[in-house]
Amino acid sequence: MVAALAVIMVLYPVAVVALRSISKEEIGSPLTLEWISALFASARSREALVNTVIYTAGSTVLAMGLGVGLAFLSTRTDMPGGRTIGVLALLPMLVPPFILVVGWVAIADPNAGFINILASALMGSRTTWVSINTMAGLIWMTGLFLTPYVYLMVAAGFRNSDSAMEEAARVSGAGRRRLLFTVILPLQRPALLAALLLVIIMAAGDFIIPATVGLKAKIYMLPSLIWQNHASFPARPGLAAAQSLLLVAVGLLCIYFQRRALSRGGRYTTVGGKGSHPTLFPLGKLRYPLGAFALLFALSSSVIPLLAVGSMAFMRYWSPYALKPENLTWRNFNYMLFEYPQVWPSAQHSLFLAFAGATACVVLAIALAWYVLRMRGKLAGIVEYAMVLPLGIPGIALGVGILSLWILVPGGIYGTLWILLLAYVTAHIPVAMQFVSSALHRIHTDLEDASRIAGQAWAGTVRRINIPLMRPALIGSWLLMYVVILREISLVILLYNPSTIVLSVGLMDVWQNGFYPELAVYSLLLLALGVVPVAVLWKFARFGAD
Amino acid sequence: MKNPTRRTMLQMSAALAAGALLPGRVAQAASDPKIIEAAKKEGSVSLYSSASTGPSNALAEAFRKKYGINVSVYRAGSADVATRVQAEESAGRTQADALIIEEPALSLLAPFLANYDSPERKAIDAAYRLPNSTLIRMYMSQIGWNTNVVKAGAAPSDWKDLLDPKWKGRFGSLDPHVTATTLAWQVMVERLYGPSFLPAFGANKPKLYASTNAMSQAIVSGEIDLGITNSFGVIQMADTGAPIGGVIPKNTVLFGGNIAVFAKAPRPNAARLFCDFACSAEGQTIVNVAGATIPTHPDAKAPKAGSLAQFSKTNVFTQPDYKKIIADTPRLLAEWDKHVR
Amino acid sequence: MNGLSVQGLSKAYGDASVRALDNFSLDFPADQCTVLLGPSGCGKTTVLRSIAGLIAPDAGRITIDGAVVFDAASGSDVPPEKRRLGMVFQSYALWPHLSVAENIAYPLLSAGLPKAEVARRTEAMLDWIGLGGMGSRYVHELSGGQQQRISLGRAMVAKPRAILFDEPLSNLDARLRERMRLELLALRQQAPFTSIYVTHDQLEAMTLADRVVVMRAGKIEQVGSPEEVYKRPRTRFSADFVGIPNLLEATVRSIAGPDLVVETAVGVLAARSWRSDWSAGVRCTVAVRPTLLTVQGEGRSGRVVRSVFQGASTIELIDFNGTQVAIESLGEERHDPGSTVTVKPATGAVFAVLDD
Repeated sequence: MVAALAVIMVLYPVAVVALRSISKEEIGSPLTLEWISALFASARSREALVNTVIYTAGSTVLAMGLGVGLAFLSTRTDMPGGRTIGVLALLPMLVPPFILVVGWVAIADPNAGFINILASALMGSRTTWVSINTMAGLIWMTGLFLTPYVYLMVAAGFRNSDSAMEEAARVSGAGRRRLLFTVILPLQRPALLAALLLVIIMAAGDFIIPATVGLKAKIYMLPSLIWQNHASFPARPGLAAAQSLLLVAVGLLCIYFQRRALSRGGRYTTVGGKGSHPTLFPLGKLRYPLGAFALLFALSSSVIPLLAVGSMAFMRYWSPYALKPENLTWRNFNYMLFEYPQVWPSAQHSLFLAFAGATACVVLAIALAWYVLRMRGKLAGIVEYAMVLPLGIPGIALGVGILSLWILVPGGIYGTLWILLLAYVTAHIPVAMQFVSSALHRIHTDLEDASRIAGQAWAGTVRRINIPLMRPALIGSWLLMYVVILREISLVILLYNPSTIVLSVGLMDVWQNGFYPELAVYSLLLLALGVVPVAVLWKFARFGAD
Repeated sequence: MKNPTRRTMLQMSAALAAGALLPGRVAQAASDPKIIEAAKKEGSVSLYSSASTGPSNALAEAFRKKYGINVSVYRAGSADVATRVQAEESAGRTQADALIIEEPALSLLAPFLANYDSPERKAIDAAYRLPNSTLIRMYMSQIGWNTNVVKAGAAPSDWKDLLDPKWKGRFGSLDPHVTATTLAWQVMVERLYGPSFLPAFGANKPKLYASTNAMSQAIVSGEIDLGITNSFGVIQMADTGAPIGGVIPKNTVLFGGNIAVFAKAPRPNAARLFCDFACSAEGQTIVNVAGATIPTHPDAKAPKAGSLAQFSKTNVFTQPDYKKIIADTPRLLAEWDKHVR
Repeated sequence: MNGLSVQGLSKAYGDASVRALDNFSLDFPADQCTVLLGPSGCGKTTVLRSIAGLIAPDAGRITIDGAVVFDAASGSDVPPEKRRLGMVFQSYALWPHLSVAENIAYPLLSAGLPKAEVARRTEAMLDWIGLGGMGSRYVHELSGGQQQRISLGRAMVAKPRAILFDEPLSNLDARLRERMRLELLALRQQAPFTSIYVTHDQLEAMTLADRVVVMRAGKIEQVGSPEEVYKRPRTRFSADFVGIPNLLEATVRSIAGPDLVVETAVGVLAARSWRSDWSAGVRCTVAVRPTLLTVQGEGRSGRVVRSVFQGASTIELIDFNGTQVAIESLGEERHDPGSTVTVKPATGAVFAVLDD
């Protein structure tokens, strides 16, 4: 029953988008294929498609490589500093992507970026060593932005894997490389595929980076086109809907392959009730070099752009040439924290919504994962596909869908915090599902059967067996939801009211005003709100009951 | 005051509203007392605004101080505000009372606006008044540059200076696919210089930005040396001490923010009172000081951005014909795509 | 206890082409150990899991202690938690996040017993399985054998109506397996309980069973006491599975009541059959147990192919004109490969003629 409701909740906005893409005007007007053909007709659109493919592929490869590599190094080897690196790798998740963009631009812009200014100073003339305004730059930023997701999803799996299988391979003569590629990684297939799916869709659907740096670099991509078609005049929501539909199709394809590649039941289960600890992979001579490299990398990919942004908070105006003592000031803090009227209400709302939303997502995800994996309900296939759909729809389009549904309900939740909550859950349940599903996948059904034979019905079994065993993953996904909801923007920009403003929207406001120092202060506030629960719950997410 | 910052300017405007310090007398807004009473009974007013947060908040705060009526501000980009209003209107759930918006969104939302001839707008030139809206804050396109990089002698003075090869790849422009107001600029330069302008413009490789504010920040940080920005961006950045300066070319496009009242406003009296206040010299002083824009009310005192009277002597303003622009958009965009890529 | 019975159980997977169970009916007498023996895919685990309530068959009825817990026709299906059974899994299925004592106490807590009694019985069970005092340890700290015992303790602690064993010893080493077998036997003698044991290991079946059920392709091949099934297998399959390597072709020489005299490659044998319609000259198959042949003086001669020392016994493979026969003998006398020996069936030994 819950499953049916969840499916409806998710499908409605998608249906709205789909209908809109084939309607001439608003929904209810005559049907037409002009928007869909426009997708492929204009050269601009086609170019955008090609660019999007390259960009998505590149970011995916980068994010998967970095995420899996870092996760493996920090959880399964004796590399020093594994824990610290793990924390650093997750930092980028705490802020909206445009904050990171601001940071990276400050570092790598061909004219105003620190690196190139340094290079020019060294070389004596205007030199550009790296430019963020290239496809490579875009891929770099997006790949880094997505790495934490991969890391989170894969690290948990690595930590829980059964070393017996690996030991068997080593005894059979597998060298380190063979062991890695033929045993360790394939065993993590559910987590890897889930991460891959997530990353592809997020890379393809993210619009902030293409819409800002991509625009500067004149690299046009699908998500920014969607945003343009929505946000500029004349608005072409039909075309935007058609483009969104394309992203949804990509999402569906991904999940189709994912399902096919994963077999059901026990093949990948590793928590099988035999209780063995995964042994650490000895790195030998590579130990310290790799550790240093990973640490350096984690620092530069997360801390440095955030530092760049943080430093802006103290400046009267921002320019890399203005980093002089006479330009430092507390003014921005004063203004933003004490005078800017939206600051504290937005913080309160954000906190409430993030807590409530994360909890709702995790609980719903548990119910749905159960339905799909254990009860093998009739709707299981539909649920799996439906739960991926929202990922394929850019936030803004999803927001429109939800808006059009709820605005029709008299009284209803339109204009309240609850519509925001609904939007958050609808949009982010896919990620929670991925986490929770792969966690559930890892538990051998024997453990549950034993509990039932011992006298517990399903509810008791879930409570006493599944949840404790899944706890690290559940906490991890709660934290992820919390952080993601805290910084979600495009989804809620249409749904919020002055009385329900949230931090991220306020942030975007300030960003649109173009004044970076104020933006920096607000970002620091957001960062603080995000960091605290993460810091507190981190331990529990890592050292779970098993 | 040495280098007043934006913050202090906002504080000043708030103080102005309280009547605390008045640099010269600004006529107080005077509305029909019956409307004031009815508005107070309604108790609050909901404003949807596409103006920047600073001016939106300043105006709201000043109104609240004056009448004791709370203003809740929904602030988003033009297109987002329009989408929201359309969604609400089509569901019959209008939540907004007053609107501050620019073209072309204004034309799009015209069917939902009430005709209201505020007593406060009598002094405003008819050119800035429509039956259902009043322009209250004006600004124009201009060229802005980084004063550390662009020295006095080399600075451009007109749009065609942007075609100078010495700026190749080092100046910024907006993208008409993203910001429709750029279309107005495109139409103007086409009219002024003919069809050869755009190809030369494109050949000079402008960097594209999503908003003038982003561009102003880019100029200040050194990403680009100069760019097509707008007047208030340059002023506000300069006020923080940033090295930005600029010139308003003789021929330029004039843009403006309008105040309007919704036909189905849940609190129609409060809406009208707010509209009165926004049109008045007092209100316009506040909103234009906070936003570094130009007022349309002759008695409003927002000297920083200049006055329309002054400009009309030195510049030729184009007020865009948005109906024509919207109709012409596919051609304009195609032209843009062909040359500027 | 009245024991268990299943009637007419059928279960098909996929598009009904794979029949895991085919009209399977059997009574499991109280306080006895019934072993379901057979290769993978024969349906033994399906029977077990159906009885446990973890699988719902397509057809049939299951009765425990006189109460119907499953009936496909009427749709009744008592969930596992209400069937009051115990189960020992192949993977042990011990919960890693609970201590040893908590694992064992789980069924008692689920039954809603008061805490004091739970604690008392848990302690008692821990002592009984030889892990007294280790209640606060965690599963991963213990050895395989100890984990096995905890699994058993958990299955027994709530005094279930029957205990189901799903190949529980497969993961143990040979010595442990032997020890556990004997321990299980001792346990049952101490406190008899109804048990249903699934395995593919015939040695386990022989040791532990009161009754052996040989299964094949979802059906029962043969039911009987271990001795019966071993000494008188009914079919090639049973004989093969029970571990008799020599299935020789034979010709009937003469018939005397239930006994037959048959001619085989190793000589003339006395045999018994389940059927009674034999006539002289008919060909059949005879199961010849390796221990019932001896290598000695007079008899048929054959050539030694291979001689393998197994510690307590020796197995020798002898070739008789193309038919290879395995002979097992105690003692250490061995013959070199290639040498010729004579082989004689033990006197009075009765061999089994197999149905096909």
